[in-house]
Amino acid sequence: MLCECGPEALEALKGAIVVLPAVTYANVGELAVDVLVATLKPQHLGAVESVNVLSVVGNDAYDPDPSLSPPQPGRLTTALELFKVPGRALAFLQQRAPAMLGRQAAFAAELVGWLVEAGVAGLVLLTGLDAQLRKDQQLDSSQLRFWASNEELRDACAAAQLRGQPSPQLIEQQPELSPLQQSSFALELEPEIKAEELELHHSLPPWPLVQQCEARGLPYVLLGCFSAEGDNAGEGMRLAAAALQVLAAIRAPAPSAAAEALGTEEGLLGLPANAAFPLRAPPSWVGLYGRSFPMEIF
Amino acid sequence: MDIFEQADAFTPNRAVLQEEEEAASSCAGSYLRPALCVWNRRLSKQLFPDGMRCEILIIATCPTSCALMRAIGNKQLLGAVLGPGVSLAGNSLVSGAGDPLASDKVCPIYTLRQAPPATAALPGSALHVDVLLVCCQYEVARERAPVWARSVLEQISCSHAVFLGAMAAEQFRGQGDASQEELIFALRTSASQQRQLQAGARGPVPLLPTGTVVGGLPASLLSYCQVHGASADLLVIVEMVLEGRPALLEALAAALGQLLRSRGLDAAAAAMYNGAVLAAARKGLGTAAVCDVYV
Repeated sequence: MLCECGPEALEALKGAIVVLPAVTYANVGELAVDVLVATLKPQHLGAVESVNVLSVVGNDAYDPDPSLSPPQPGRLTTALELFKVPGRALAFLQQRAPAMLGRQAAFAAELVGWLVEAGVAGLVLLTGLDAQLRKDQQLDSSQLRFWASNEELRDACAAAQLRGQPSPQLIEQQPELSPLQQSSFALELEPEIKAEELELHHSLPPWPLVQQCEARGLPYVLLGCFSAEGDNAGEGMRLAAAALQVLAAIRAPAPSAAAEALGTEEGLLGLPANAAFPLRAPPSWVGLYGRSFPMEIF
Repeated sequence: MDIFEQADAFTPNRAVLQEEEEAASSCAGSYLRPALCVWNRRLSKQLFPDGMRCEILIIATCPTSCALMRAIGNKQLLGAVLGPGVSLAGNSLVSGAGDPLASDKVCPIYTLRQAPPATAALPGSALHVDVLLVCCQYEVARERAPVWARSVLEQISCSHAVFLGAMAAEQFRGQGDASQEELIFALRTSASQQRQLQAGARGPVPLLPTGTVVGGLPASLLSYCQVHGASADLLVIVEMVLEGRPALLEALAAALGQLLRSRGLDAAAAAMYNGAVLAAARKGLGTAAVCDVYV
């Protein structure tokens, strides 16, 4: 894989947790990473290129670079872009185009191999799950699912799950909330369903990435949201919110001096538990569903 | 394409089946076969004794831009790019210094340089215009585009590259209406943007508005330049019809001329944008090989 950023920027990936989408059904993973980048405003490290990914370019996917004064429009966006949160062991790899038909496995091997070589500590995979394949038990529960590769990450997801549960007071105050609205936290993906997916859809995202992570011993968390193709901005937001909770719960590989002085464990985001984080949609979502039209024509 | 195939092309979805992915994986390796650049050895040694280096590289990837490139006079055929999976059957036999026909599925490479740099720099010599033109008259499938771009751009070194591409009006998400006006937009690499900022100039062509993306060969070319830190611009036209329209052709030529002048390349701009070139290009519209899809 070719990377625009220099070796110093690649050095920033060492020991970091990388959040990336699995480009698949309903594009929910990419939408969630869009929300995370627009909300956390990480530093842009550079473009990445792979011969296994279709090419796409556009302008100004996110807000203009704040380091330039005045802010300059026209920042080029490519199919793969790398971002890093300064001072935190957290990076984002946004992917805007799928791997070519027939090259999913090759791309997964290339990407995970490159990340392992760069020395990343683990991955958080954000993905959409096909809502048409839900079992009965999944219809009335939370539409978010997680799967973790080791106990430590599983505990972090469980802790995030507790944070995401609505309080009993809220349910009491708003009894009209539907079970789906009440259940906005991620449940663990049922093992038998994961096994069935790996058997039936092993060549389709996110499973090639999952298989590569397991083959190379790279820790990962898979966060998915059941969705149907359509206006998936809501699912993107929901998945991004769940990802923020998980990232806040994952222990930072190198805690800050303040956390060490207090003897507390610090999450990747360095935020206290239950901190509210208003999510932002990027400006590029303005064209998600075509051009607007003047209402005067009606 | 019939209207159902067009609907599939313009409204893609990510619902790939396991069987489709498995069936494609055995032959998908062919996407990585590189394109082959073949050169007129005598001419390239004479005009480029120090290797393929030029001031400006222009690559035309759509029928409208190819019509413009073909119409430019005083160019010399220097080489061609052979694309894997592109059959040469049905192409005309070019003899002497004749140009390929617009309907030929070829990708000729032309130079506007008439003499080696040392000679051209002498007073009284022919106008020295250091431009290479690549006119891609065949369709490069989007799966082959990254490797095609890499194959060509690795062989040619330039100070600045300009790519000319097109997108279907259905994929444009901005506020303009391609059926009522000529829409041309620009995308730039970081290096190109930096040069423009340092020059204190504002780009003459409006930037592609946020929310719209370009794919296929133009995107592969620009992505390659971005990753390698090269200075490059992409001019993309929003087309209603595949064969191109004269008004859009003129707007593209004007935009290209403005872009070259903003870079201080007045001679190249004059060669690209003048009455004779436009008249010849208008005649060449609609005679190209049919392009099925843009991305």
